[in-house]
Amino acid sequence: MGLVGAACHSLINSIFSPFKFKRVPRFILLCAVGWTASVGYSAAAEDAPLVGWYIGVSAGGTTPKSTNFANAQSWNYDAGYRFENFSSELTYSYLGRFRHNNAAATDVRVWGVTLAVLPRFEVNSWLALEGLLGMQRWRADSQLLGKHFGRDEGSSATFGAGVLCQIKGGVAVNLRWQRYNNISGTDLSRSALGIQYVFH
Amino acid sequence: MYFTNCKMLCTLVAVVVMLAGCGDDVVGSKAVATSEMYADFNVRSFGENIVLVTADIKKGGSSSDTHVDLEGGDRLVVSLNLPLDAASGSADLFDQVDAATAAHKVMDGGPEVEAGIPFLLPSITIAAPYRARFDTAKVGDTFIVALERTDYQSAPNSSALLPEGFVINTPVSGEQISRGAGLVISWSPVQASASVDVKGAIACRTGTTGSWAQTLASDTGTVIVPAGTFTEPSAACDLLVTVDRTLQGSIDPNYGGGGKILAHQSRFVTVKSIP
Repeated sequence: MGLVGAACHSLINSIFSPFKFKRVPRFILLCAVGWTASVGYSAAAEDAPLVGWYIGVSAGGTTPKSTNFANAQSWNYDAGYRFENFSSELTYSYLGRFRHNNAAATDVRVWGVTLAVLPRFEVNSWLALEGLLGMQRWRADSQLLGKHFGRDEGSSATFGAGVLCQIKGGVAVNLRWQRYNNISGTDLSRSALGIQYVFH
Repeated sequence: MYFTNCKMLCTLVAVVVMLAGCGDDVVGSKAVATSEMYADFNVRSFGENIVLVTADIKKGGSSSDTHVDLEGGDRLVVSLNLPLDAASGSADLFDQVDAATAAHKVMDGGPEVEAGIPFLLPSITIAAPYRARFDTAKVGDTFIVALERTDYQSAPNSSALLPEGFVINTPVSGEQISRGAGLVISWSPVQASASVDVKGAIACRTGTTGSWAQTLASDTGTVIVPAGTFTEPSAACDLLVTVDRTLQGSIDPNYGGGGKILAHQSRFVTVKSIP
């Protein structure tokens, strides 16, 4: 258990490494995860796999393939429907503000909306593995040395995988890695920790 | 002996006091309108595409000793060929922004912008407070220096064209040159539209130093240092020859005190000077 705890701590730290200055969101999310785990873990095994509408939120870090830009913190707001073996999900993503490593007040900001299908494999009554395949409509905005540089928008494929941990009362925690292909000239990889609630 | 040491100490103290008293003044830019400013910009290439841009702004005219410290959002931005305000992108923003950072620099660099320039001459290490470095400049590029101001009128349009590069043909680096004979300094190619400053600085092991300089209003590709210009009688000395090709650019008229922007191609060679 100690080893698992240490691994989780390391993973969470790696996900939240871009959150150098904004500790509050990290604190809130970790508290929420901790609370749901403490109140629901013991009873989770008694719950059958849930189907129905759900909402969720996740926070994480996004890494651009373009090496002259730094990692950024990101937020997702999810809504979808969970079927027996898969989910259909609509996500609003703020993928982050990617600051240039060598120029002050120079960055690219990206956000978008994703429609995705998430096949799900139930390992047991409380643990599931998820895949993700979808399309994202994104928009990017940029500044150069503090002055507006330009906007871009487009549609790109996205895919990913994750782990979903079902907690009591329709609450689930997920850990997800996701790749966004060719967002305004570069690929973005996002790792995030999230929480979902299934209406049932 | 005691008297000599005391005299030296007193002289040293006097020099320090004089230097302290003669220091230039610095004033914050919030207290200086653009119409009161004098601008001194230099764009200097040492070859290998590396260009160092330096700037000094004074309150008053060219002879003023009051330097302006940019503050409160005022800044100098130097751009390659295209002003920062005109820079834009509409696709592949990660690539375009990255490329644009190589062509637009805020002049906030200190001495670190000179890091990795192995051939920087001490005489060219200008004490200008504002600096920027470009590693991808080429002949024919225009450098645009913009003073952006928050409370006063900006001065966005000072520009200069980088002169053609050249190589010093004679003397050859490390060559032994007799001080008793005239020294032919030649370079190519010639750019007749540019002026050229040629300098020689000699330093001997005996501590003797000397210098010589000539300015050509129009580049001819050759100057001759007359025989006997350097008169150290016996010792072997190092002679540093510098050739500086200059094109004058245009300074923004909003600088009420005037100013100048010069673009240079600088080359140098060191030879042995013998009696």
